[in-house]
Amino acid sequence: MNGSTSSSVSTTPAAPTPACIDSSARILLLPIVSSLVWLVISSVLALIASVKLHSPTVLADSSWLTYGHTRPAANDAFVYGFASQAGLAVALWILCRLGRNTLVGGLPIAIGSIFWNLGVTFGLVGIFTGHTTGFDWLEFPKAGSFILLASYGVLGICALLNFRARQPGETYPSQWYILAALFWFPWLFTTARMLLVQFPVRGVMQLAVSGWFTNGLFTLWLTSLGLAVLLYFIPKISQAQLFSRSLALIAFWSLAVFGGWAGFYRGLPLPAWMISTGAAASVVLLVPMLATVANLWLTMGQGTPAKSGLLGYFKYSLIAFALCGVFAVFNAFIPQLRLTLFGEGVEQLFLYGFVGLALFGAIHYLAPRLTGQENDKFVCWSGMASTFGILLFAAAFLIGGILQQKRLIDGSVPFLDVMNKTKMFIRLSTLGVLLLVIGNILTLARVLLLVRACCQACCSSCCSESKPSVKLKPAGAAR
Amino acid sequence: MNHGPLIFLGILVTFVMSWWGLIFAPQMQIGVQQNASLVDGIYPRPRAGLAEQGHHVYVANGCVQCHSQQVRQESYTFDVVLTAPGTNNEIVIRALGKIAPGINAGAVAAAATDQKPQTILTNVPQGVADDAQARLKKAGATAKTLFIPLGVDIARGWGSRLTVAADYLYDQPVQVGHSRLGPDLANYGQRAPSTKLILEHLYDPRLTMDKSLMPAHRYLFETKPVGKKSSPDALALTGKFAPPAGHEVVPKPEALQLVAYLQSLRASTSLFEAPASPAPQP
Repeated sequence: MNGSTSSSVSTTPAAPTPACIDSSARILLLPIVSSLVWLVISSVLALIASVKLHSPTVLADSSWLTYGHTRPAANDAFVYGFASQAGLAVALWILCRLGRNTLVGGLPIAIGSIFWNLGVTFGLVGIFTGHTTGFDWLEFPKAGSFILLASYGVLGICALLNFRARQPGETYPSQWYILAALFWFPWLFTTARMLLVQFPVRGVMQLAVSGWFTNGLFTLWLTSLGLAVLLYFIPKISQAQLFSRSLALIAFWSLAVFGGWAGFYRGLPLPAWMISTGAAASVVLLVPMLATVANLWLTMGQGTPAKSGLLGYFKYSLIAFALCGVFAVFNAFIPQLRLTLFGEGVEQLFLYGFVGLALFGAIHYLAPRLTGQENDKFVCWSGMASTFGILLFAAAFLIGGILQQKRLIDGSVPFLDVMNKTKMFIRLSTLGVLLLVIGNILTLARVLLLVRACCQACCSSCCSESKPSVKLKPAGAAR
Repeated sequence: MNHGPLIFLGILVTFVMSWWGLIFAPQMQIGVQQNASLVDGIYPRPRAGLAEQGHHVYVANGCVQCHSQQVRQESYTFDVVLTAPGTNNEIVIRALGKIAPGINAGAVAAAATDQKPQTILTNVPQGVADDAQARLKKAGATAKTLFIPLGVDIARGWGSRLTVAADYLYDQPVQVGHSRLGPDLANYGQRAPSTKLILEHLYDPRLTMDKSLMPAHRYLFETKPVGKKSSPDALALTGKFAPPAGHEVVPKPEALQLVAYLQSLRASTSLFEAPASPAPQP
């Protein structure tokens, strides 16, 4: 399997070298850098929201920055601006590397990415000006969503073309997840938008559609992207073969079959069978989780990790993934937890801990290779800041949520006291978000430094020679 | 598994299955739900114009980020009340004595009317309640079994029954919420204070509740110089909340719409699928 060992030379003589692939994929720096900009914006918005949660008088006179706007804006900027965009870029690169083909469709990818960013911008402005649709994770108003979907069409087709352009040979699990995710996202997004905004269904059916979409967005789209990254990078960095292909197969198909069924919790005014189905699915989803975690953990055990500090990102991401699976079961079976901070804690652990850390690690790995420059500045620091940030944030919300629930179910504690006693945990979480902001800025700074160095190298070689890319010493080959 | 088409087919089938199961099937089951016909009209009714506009203000400001609109019920119990003692007082008193030895049977039987039902049993399982009702019927009296929903939300006074599908029939978008950073609002209209107080709470929640964590929504209000006569809507603000001299704080139309919406929030009509608690707890 070519994907697990970077140095293994391709068997087909026609296949390009990894360095060649990397330099062909340089255009992916555009979605990566813009996704990191959204990441920083998202975390700054999350910081504002977090501060407002315990100090409601801060920035109280601005309608744009009220908590009801900043919270969803931060979430959407993370999911659509960062995770989806960076996930697509990393997925494209993984497809090229695994398929041993140079990147197909550089120009459409660049255009698609520009329009994607435009879509996210429109969507966020819509949220700030009060034009939200009012549904979780689908807040972007018409203009934003349409641009987003259209540009996704371009990016998705490019990704499929890249999958088609692969050299013959056995496919790798990452490719399955990416292929599935590429279809799941547009299906989920269009179905939900059609049924919620364009031709809205009536009454609580909206809850059914929105719960189905939220669950799909997390369990199918983001999980697939995250797992594709982990399945590719963990064996690669530990320098080992994937422990078991059959385990990966079981995990993939059990996720595909049961992934779409979770997401309804007790207490929602929906038919009881839907809620039972959701709870049962959240238990069955422990199967793909355990299979993947066991598979990758054993892979790590087999390998002899290189000195690269990147394995930590993927390891913690895997741990966060496992914890989220377990907490989802808690959420489904302890209904009182759902409306407390606990639910949001799990959500953020999933977004930053699992998807975020996996993508940060991937971006730190990709950036030097795509730019052909070396610079290890900030890798360690941003990793520490992100890991401790999410740890603090999630721990504060999870523990705070459990205590909040304990007081909430005690009818004798007035509601105001419940919230005021939870304040301490919210303050702690603000500290966590602050660390995340720092980590995100450092990540962006490192990638920008690499891009600048790359541009300078390009310029200087342009002046002296007509063919710049040949001169660049690709970092990927050196490792 | 090396073929793209195979993976594609697999994920298409699994995706359509979840769509079929969780969207198409429920749409057939509850998507065509109509208003319930009750003795005193239909439920629910569409919101009045101002309240409907207020719903959009509620959505636009993301109130749903902190406020849920759902009342949950954890269990239930039954009460039995006597509504008419019938004609044979002696047998009824004897029956009452057997059913509930603790009560003053004579006084209860004498006082029971349709308007003033007298409680005989509280907090009993359905079997006991049905049995008591049957015995009293045999004795010639009329008794009613009351369904009492129980739960933390109900104990907190956030509603007198659980919220069900019918309550959301006219909401677009439905704002059921995912977080309770603020209190539940499903029945806010029932416990809401006066319009003035809600407006003050929106202007700055610390005005009405010292320790409130709710953000101020001052941008829904306008501070403007007092004209010839002060506006009837102007908020009576004093101390540190007071506007500069010669100015007054007047709610914008959005604020008034939002208040109308909040006052319209009631999900307490007793329904077949969700009987309300007869006497809402304070």
